[in-house]
Amino acid sequence: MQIPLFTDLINDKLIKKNLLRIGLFLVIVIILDYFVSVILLQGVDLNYGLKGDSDILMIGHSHLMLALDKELLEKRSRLKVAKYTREGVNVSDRRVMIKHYFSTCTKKPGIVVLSIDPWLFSSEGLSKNSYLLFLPFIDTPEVRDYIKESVPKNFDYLKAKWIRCSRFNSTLLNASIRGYLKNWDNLKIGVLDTVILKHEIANGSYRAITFNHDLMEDFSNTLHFLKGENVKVILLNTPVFKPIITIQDHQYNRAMQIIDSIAQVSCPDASIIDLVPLFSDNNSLFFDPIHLNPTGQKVITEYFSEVLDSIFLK
Amino acid sequence: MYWRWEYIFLILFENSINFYAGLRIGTSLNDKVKKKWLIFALVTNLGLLFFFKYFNFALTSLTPLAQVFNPRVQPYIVNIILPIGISFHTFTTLSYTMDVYRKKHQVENSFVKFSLYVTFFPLLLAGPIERATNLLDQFSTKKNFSSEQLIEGCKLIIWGLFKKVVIADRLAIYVNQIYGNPHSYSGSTLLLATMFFAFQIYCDFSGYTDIATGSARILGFRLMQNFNLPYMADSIGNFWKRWHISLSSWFADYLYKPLGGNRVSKSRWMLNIFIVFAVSGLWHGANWTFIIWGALHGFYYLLEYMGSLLLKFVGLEQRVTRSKIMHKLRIVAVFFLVLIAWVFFRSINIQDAFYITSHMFTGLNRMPYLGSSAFDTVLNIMLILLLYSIQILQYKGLFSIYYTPSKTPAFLRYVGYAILLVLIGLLGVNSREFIYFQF
Repeated sequence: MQIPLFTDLINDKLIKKNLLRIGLFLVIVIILDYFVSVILLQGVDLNYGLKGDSDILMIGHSHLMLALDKELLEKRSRLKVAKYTREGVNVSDRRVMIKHYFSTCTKKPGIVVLSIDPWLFSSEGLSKNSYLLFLPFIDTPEVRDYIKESVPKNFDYLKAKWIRCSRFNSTLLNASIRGYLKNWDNLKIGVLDTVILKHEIANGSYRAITFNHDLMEDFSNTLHFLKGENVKVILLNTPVFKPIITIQDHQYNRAMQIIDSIAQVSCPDASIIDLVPLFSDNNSLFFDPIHLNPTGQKVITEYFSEVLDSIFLK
Repeated sequence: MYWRWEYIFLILFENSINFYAGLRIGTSLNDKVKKKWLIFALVTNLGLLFFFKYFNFALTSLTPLAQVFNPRVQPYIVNIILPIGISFHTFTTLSYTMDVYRKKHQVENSFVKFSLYVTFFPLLLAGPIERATNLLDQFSTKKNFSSEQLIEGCKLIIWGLFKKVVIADRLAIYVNQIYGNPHSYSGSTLLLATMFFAFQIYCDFSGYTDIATGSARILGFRLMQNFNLPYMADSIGNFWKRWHISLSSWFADYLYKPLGGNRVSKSRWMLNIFIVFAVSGLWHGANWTFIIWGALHGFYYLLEYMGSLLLKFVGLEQRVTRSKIMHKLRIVAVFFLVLIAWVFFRSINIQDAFYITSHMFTGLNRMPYLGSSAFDTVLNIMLILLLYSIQILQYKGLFSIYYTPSKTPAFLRYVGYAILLVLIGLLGVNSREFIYFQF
């Protein structure tokens, strides 16, 4: 009996030559995939200050990313700073980031600046795919377990495992290029339009502060871990446009009280620095309601470096 | 636009009608009988297409007219789900029936082969609109698996995937944002979004075609080329010989020529051109924006014709056509003309289209909005430049994606395809539907 495909393969005169071509092509793909991913990972590590020996570790999302200038802070404090901040990372992500940093650094940081905000326990509006930003570190055990838990389909995990370049995306490519260029500039140039925003907020177009117990537990675990690592913890609430706070004043106060009470239990030595009351009135510092522009970043960094000095003097 | 399993009966019905009409046309010796069956096939197929695709459009377009006579007439919409790819398989089946009628193709006696030709899976959703003369006969020859075909097919699939998931789908993010609310953006932003759309639609549709052609190639079939570097066209006529070739040649053979082609008076010829382009616009969708898009191309075509007459009259035609600089300038000019027409193709309604066309060349001294991620927008521009570089290599014959041999050394080509695969892994975004699925 003749099996059609099998017979075709036997009769194919070019099969040997073409199998060699396919083999050569696959080797090129594998080599290229490996080297491109290694080069990109190196850039990402440089950007986030991973595998380094920093004195201060900043962990947080875009609020912190745009609020503190790494280079200015290093200049003012004369300490080495690792800025491990990414867009859209929630409390669980931040816990993984801290564990990831501590598992890869050559020297433990003395200070960890952990970003907090009134939406810390709000589960609504969080990105469901923030695990994508961890894919380049899939080979690190702490990150691997987290990715396995987060991926919607096992296929996504296997794809990232075997096709190394698929671990990256344009955000990480940007992070990698910036890492090589040693560029941590805040590029959110411009000032928010207060008239439009106030109107939108009045119409209910703002993110509501809500409370999720799982996220509170995650936050508590994070602080507990940091306490165990014996580092100085600073919980930093960066400024946001005042009207989105005043419209939900009660929830804001409640969120800050919960943060305070969790910190007192899980990490009593942690300092909470709330910059909202000090800077939220100054509209010229904001690019949008929750992100600072370069001017805002400079003002906040200078203020924060003074706070750091005072903490050290104590 | 969705699929429903019941619609398989629609394809079966269309196939049966055309197969049977083809049999009757092919076997009958009586011209009147032949004509009767041709008309029957045309009315049935175009009637179905009209019902599923244009019925609501006709109702809403006629409502204002009806309101002139009776102001109480209310707009009425019938809930119809447009069968995916209906325009493509209707045109494929019709081309067979008309070819049999014109004795350009012999009648097919096997319903299975005929159905395979119409519903061949790579083509079913978005073409190319294959002719019986090219594809149907290929079902009569035994197909053997060959490693050479596998490689050729995979090359096309990689190139198509790259265009779709790396370029088209990335550009779509920016284009959708701007075209979703064009009144909020500056002229430079509207121009950038329209340029992005020009490449989005090209990469989306030609990407699909390459994947379809590559899949067919692996199975041993050769499909017609549907795109040939359209943005390298130096005239509108040339553009339509390079863009969606299977559709433009379909309209040329089955609409333009029956209307009299160019063997009629000049004024009638001009009308024919205009009709063909407007119908081609309507084929894309039941919306005035598509009709204007088609009509605009017809207008360009006629304008170009009159321009060439003028040049001939003043004795500059040879100089203009032979000049290399003029050739490059013509390519740029054609691109911008096509760009303006794309505004109508992409806009949600005519008001938006007119707003964009009247604003996209104003305020160009202002920096365009760079989207939620400036890096992504810059990356998009770089990817377009990469695409253009590859296309220039193709244009100069140094590199071939299709069946002709390439002048580039094999190792370099392998590295090139490997880079494309890595870029797909790195920059490919979650794929959206192909734009042409809706037609």
